[in-house]
Amino acid sequence: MDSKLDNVAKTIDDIVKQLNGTTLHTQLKRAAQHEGEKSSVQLSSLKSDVIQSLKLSGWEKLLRNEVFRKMHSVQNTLDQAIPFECQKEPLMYMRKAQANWERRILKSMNSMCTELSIPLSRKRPADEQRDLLHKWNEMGTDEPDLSHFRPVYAPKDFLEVITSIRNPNYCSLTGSEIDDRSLNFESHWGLIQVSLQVPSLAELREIFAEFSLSNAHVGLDDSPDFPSDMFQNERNKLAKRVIDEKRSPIAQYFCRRGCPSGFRADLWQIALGVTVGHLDVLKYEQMKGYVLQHDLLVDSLIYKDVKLTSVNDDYYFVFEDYLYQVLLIFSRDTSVLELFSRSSATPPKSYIRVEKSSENVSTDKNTPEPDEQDGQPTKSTGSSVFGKIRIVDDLPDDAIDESDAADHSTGKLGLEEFAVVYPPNGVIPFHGFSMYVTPLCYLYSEPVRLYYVFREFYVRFFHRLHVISSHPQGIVTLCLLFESLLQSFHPTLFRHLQDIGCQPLKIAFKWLVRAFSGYLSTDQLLLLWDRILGFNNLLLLPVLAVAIFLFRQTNLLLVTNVAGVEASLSDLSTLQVIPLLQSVLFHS
Amino acid sequence: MNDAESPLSCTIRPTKYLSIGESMFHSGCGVIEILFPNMRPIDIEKISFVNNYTAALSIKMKIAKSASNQTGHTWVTGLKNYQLMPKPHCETGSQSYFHLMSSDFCKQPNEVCALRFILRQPSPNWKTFTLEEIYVHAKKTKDPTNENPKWLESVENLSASEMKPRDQAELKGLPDTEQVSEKMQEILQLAEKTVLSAPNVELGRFDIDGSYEINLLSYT
Repeated sequence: MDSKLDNVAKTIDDIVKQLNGTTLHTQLKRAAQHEGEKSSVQLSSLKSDVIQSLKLSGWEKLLRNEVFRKMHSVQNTLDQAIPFECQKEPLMYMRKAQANWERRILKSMNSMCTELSIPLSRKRPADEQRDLLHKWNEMGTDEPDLSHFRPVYAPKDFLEVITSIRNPNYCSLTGSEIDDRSLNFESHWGLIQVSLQVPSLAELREIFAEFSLSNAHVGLDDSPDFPSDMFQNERNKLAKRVIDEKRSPIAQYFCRRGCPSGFRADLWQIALGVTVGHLDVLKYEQMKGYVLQHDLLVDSLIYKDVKLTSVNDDYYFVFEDYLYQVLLIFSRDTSVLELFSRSSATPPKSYIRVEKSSENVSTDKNTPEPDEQDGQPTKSTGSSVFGKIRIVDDLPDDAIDESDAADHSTGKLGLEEFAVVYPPNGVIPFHGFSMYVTPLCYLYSEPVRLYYVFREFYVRFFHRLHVISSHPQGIVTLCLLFESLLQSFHPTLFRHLQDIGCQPLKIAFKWLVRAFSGYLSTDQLLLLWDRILGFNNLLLLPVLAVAIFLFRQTNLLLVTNVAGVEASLSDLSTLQVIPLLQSVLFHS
Repeated sequence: MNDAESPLSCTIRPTKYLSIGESMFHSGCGVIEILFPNMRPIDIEKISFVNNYTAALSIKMKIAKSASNQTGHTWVTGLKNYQLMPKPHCETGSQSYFHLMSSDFCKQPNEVCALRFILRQPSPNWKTFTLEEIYVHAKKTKDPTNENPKWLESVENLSASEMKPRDQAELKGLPDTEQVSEKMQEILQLAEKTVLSAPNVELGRFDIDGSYEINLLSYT
């Protein structure tokens, strides 16, 4: 009991430290001062009077919402004795797997950079900045040559890495550890061979108790078949009241049974604790300025991803311009870096280059004009901003390490004061990354609001879907939960699929990584994301994946090859999410 | 707990696993013995360690029978089946850091000469199990020989022949020490306040002096 109170005290301490110096803090102090100056306030009861008037004027609600938002991101206990990396990820082999994976991604970026002779970052000349500003709202009309770019990685590459994670201390039951050369029989049927703790069906029922069959849900009980006064009208009225109340915990709880479509945008915004005041708009404009100033290689990756995925989708191609406006800004947003303190990932880092002519450290580096030619010439492109680096044409793959890079550049390598994170938000987009934003475009028509809601969604949920971690809601646990649930519900189906050479996770993985975006129809997807937000839990994703397999089991059991399985599960657009989830969780 | 002493340097014997004769089988039970320097009894404040796939821990303490004029020692159970891994087949808690305070023990760990950690790991999933980086912290004892310097003692204790510091200062033309120390305290408080109220919100700039020309990404 004492340790619990200690934990609560530490959490309060952390949150207060985080709130210290924020805009809300200044506004609260100003409001408190204003209240205190009123003539009706007496000195003897100053504190209680000010607190009372802050409650009445609505400031207390804003503070509560902000504290609720911070509670989602605060770490449990930052014990000084525990090394930071162990607090982010306690298991050593997971840390190693994530580090290797990150190294692979960086290698891929670096090799793309050297092959295409395009710098990772380039300052835009003034006329290019003006052009981009003019066509800011219609960047989709731009058709840059992206044929040489390839996505850094796709979900199937990530799946390969996850399935190859092994615990060196793991001894499978049937394997013999005396003779190391003997076959190590896997004791897990599926692809994931790590023994992470996954919740049982009983535990899932407890967590998702609101899905029980006695509760009415939006997406099920508000269909046109039912008279609207039974559920739909009540739900709409309740939604209006929740929006007027403006309290995050209430809005989040409301989302558990689904949001009526007309109110979803406001409800999500309140539940996430996202406020878009004029300061937030200014910050957005500031980051837009950063986009205009510097052109990053990551921008081309974003363009490529949007063109490949969202534009090809019948439901989402209309939002292409919004996607650029959100994702380009997202890569410049350094506030996203705070999520790395509670994730097993580390943001990629690089060092600022300095001109070769200046020997000493100069702080006023003039970035060169593009038509200036000096320094050593590079390959055929002759682009001068890259002229300061000598590029070695054929780098052997395994020779890329710190010392080699030092030979190739005149940068301030190793000097921490010149270390920067690349991209500024630390997130390198992969194939399909833009699909995290696309469903939100149906809810928010203003880019600023769309941006802040997406950022909060990413920082709270989506970042766990592409990082190797032992977190109870990380992608590895989600995969393991999918496999173990499917095995316990229908072992025959599972073995049948394995026998025909198609591991179920290979098909379900792309659904999980994208949180079903682009696979379900949009209204069903938004119903699913309602619940993810309402329960604050990503465990619904594997439950839905299992439900889909079970729903199509008769078909799947008759199929005899991999192509047939893929064809059977390729079209999910007719599925209804809520009945499927209920059937798995509560249909005995 | 920054005022804890640095951990005692104790001898930690390597883990011995239970076995029957020479046969190799997973007994799921191991023992770690910890001996304290000079075999003198210690009052334990805290024990910290890193788990390495141990599911449950029991601690037996060798207590010196100094009371009731008995010589010799007795083994007492200090901790019984303390769960380190809530589910022994799964990874949760398997490589976590733990701190055991003296309040977690069944019997107060006072006058302890030696410790035996009994490790249990019933799951056959793991090749080995042990504890690492075991540190024992003793309770801090007040040093009776630590005397305050004479000038820190109260002014009233000065004998009549010695001049009080205030009078000495007045002679030399210095201001009153009490007033000076009050003002110093005020300044210190103001300085503390400004330091504490400094905002820790980032400005959001990712470049260095307007430059974001970078090399290739670094692998370390």
